[in-house]
Amino acid sequence: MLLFVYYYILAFIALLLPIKSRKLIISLATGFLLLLVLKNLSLSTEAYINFSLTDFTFNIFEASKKQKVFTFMFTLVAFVGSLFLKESRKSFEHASSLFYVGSALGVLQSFDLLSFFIFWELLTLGGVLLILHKNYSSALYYLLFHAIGGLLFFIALVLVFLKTNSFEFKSFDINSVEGILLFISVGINSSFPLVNSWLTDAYPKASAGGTVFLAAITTKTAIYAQIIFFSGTSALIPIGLVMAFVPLFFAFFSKNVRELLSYSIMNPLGFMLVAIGVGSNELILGAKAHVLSHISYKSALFIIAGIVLYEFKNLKLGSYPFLKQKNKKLYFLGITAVLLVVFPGSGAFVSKSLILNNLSHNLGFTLFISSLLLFVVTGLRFIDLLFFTKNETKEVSFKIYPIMYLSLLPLFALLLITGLYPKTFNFFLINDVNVANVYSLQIFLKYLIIFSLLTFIYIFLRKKELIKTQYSFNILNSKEITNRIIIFLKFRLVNLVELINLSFSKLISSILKLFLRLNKYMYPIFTVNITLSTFVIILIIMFFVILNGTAKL
Amino acid sequence: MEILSNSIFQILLLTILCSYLPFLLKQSTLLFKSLIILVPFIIFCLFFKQFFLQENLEILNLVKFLPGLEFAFKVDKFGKNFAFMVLFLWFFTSIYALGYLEKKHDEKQQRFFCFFTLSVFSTLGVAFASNLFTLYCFYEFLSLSTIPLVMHNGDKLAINGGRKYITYLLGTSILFALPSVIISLLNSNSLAFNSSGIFSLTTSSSLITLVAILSFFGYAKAAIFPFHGWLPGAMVAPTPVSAMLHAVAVVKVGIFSQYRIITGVIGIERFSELAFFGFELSYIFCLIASLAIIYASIVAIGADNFKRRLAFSTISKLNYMILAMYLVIPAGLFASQLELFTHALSKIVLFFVAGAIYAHVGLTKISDLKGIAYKMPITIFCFFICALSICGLPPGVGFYAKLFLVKAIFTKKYLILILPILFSAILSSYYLLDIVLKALSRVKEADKDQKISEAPILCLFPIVTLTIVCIFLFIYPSILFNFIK
Repeated sequence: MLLFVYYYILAFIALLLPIKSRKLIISLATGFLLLLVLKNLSLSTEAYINFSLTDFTFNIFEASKKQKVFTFMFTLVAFVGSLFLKESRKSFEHASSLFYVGSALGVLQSFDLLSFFIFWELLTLGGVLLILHKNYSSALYYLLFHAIGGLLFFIALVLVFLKTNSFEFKSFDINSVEGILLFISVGINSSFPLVNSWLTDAYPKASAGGTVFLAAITTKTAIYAQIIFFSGTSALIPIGLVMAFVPLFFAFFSKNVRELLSYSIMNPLGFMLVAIGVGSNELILGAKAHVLSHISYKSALFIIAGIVLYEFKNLKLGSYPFLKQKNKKLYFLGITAVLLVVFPGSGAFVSKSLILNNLSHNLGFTLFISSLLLFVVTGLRFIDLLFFTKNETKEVSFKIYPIMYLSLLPLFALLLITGLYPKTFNFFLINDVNVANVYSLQIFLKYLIIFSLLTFIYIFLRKKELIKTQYSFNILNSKEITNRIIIFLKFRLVNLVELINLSFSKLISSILKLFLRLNKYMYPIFTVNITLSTFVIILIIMFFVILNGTAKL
Repeated sequence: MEILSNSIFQILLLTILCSYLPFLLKQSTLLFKSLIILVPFIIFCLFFKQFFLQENLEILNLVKFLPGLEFAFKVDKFGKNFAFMVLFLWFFTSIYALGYLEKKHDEKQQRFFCFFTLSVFSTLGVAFASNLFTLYCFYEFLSLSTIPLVMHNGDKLAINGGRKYITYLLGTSILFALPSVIISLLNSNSLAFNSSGIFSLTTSSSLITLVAILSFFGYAKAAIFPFHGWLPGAMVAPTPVSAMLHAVAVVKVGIFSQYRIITGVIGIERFSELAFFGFELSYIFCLIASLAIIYASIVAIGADNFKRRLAFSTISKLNYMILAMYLVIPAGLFASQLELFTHALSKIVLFFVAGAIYAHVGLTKISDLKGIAYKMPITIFCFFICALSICGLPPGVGFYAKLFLVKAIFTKKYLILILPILFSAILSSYYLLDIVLKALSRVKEADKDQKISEAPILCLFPIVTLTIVCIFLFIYPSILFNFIK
């Protein structure tokens, strides 16, 4: 079954549907597709479909063990996101999000570099359209980064083709030219340090529903690419460690909740990259399990932030009142989501343990510290910013459509099931995962003590106002720098180039005018006189004849 | 009258006769409109029947002035494909031009269509030419027959643009191309194109280098770097002219002539041996082309006028073709042909869209286009697909062109030339998709309630059809590859 085709067709249908029935039909359809995927999950058939063209063969395959968990999670996000999206008149958000998901599924289902690349680029376009719904400049910025990444991928593709004369999948060595090009290209998508600014710029500015899709898909597709191309590349380990720590500090000091969540996306990515960098079989499975739980809890957090956003238009600090008292239900859901991020009993805890237990002692301990920091940021700081900050009090009638709460349900259920019965991971990963020593009383007590200690410290510091609600300093803004480069190109350089061009053309035309005064003679053509132009041609021919005759003489 | 049964002669004669037809009828009548649409269609069908269904490879020797100096025509693979492309797009442009001129209430349609047909005639002459002399004559004739189209509006701006057009095109061809023809004539027995070159082995290579340099700058319709200024200047013309002539016929005739110089006049093997002060000549030409690519991309970012931005994009793309061609390897020639056909197909749609927006809403500046996608969704969608094709991204057919171009550069091992391609690919995706994103970006709630109203059906039909062709060729590229090979 070519899953991505269904999503492309659905995207096209979404454009045509009337606004009232759009959400219902799309949600039902994506739900049906989700069930279909779930039903076929345990089937481990590998059926290939080949499109043979003159020079290339496109290999697209149905299903394989490698990417089933990705396929399932992307279809789940498509369902949840479609439930959550708020559709306005004349918008194309449903269509672009389905196109985006379809392209991601195409990436998963392609089995040679060329079709992989084509879906990779379509994925970028889907992302751009999704961000565009809310913010023009961020969409352009996102496009700029991914265009560079796509080009590097493209050159790597050509180099591979020249070397081996085929587009087959293989793992790359980053010491070769095509390997390093591909590494950077995939690295841009998996938001490596220094090239991550597209993520932290675009995700907080996309629409509330769009972010749910974005946060789940672009980076996870890149993780899939890392698994198939670069598993066992040791360069990933330091990069992963940097990503597990540094963005958390940025997240802590960020000014709005969705920016905080965007920065903290990079922490689990760091975990996965370290696991892929070491590259043993258990660790790759751990990384895949972590993809499952990370998509679930991050989507849940973004949905909770998005519910508030839908009501209050912008989620800057201080622009909304004391939410805890206003909406007890939301508060309860927020606390639950935060607990499911790290606490024992959630799938995220199990998958993280799968990575930590299989790493060497030093690496494991470092990442353990990082996971505690993650609790402080996405747990305590998130709750603090969202529910306990009051600057202005203004009366807002708080009404949320129940369907929005409904979209949280599958995510929570998935996290709880995988957390309480860790063996369910076997079902999603189609592989036997060793979950024997994930839980014990000792571990449970250890985490409980550490987390409550951290919570008390945080509350204490907050009461003493050592932790402020808002920090005035600006985090380094690389978008500003890029914009300046573009403005420089646009105005300064263009002016210079045009100046050169002007002097050039003046010089040329003055020389040419010396040779011919044709303008005057050409003017009568205006009076529709075709004979003159033929006459000119005859003159030229005569010129030749005379010249040739004299030369031959 | 044996000559009447010659199919090349039939097509050329039919085209030149049909150029007078518009004067026989009153404009805006139904008969006039149907004639304008029917003529390209009949000629296209005749052409298709003669050369694609019957594989007719005829020779036509028309007039002989002196030994080695004659009007002679021949049909070869590239010429046939080129003529096919021009006739195919001519049909759609005629439909579009009718819609556009009706919408603008133009009163000089008879003159317009007369010269339009004439310029197609001279393009066909270039495509069928079998020697350098014929090619040169029709090249000049094309310049002359397009001047009334460029100056069509008749205001001061149009006359200035037209003046620039004449100065650049006739100036370069008389200054550089004509001497190169004369030198070739004096140093060889015949000017007929020949895959091993027209020069004998004893001809000194410095002379051939001179011919190569003179013809490189002489056929400036291909927007060769210092002489590209006519193309943005010619954008004062009505949009159908910009679309058909300044994205397809005229500029591609420049490319076609350069192709003939390399493969027919000098010969691929001879060309790759040429050197200029110790540097490989092909390498110097490639560097000039890459300079133009970078230059045009930078200017295109700054341009706010819709057609001006497209013009600079065209300059950049034409230099892609020149770069691919002057690698002087078969892979490069193939890449440049692929680039030529795909670019013609997609760029003509971009111009159509620019014209449709101008005719329908009256906007020419890109910064005013915000929210236009909610008014004209189909138009902007087609623009989006074709802009992707120009940037070389899927699902546009231009993707394959870029693939083969980069492959050719790697094969020739001129690795430095990757940099301008990279630079311009990033900039082109910036300046073309920027238009789409602007059109899609959200506007005020009040503006969003406006109803969907597209351009007239005569304008919309070519846009949609050609976009479908563009996507279709992306899915089945083998058609395109077999077409060229």
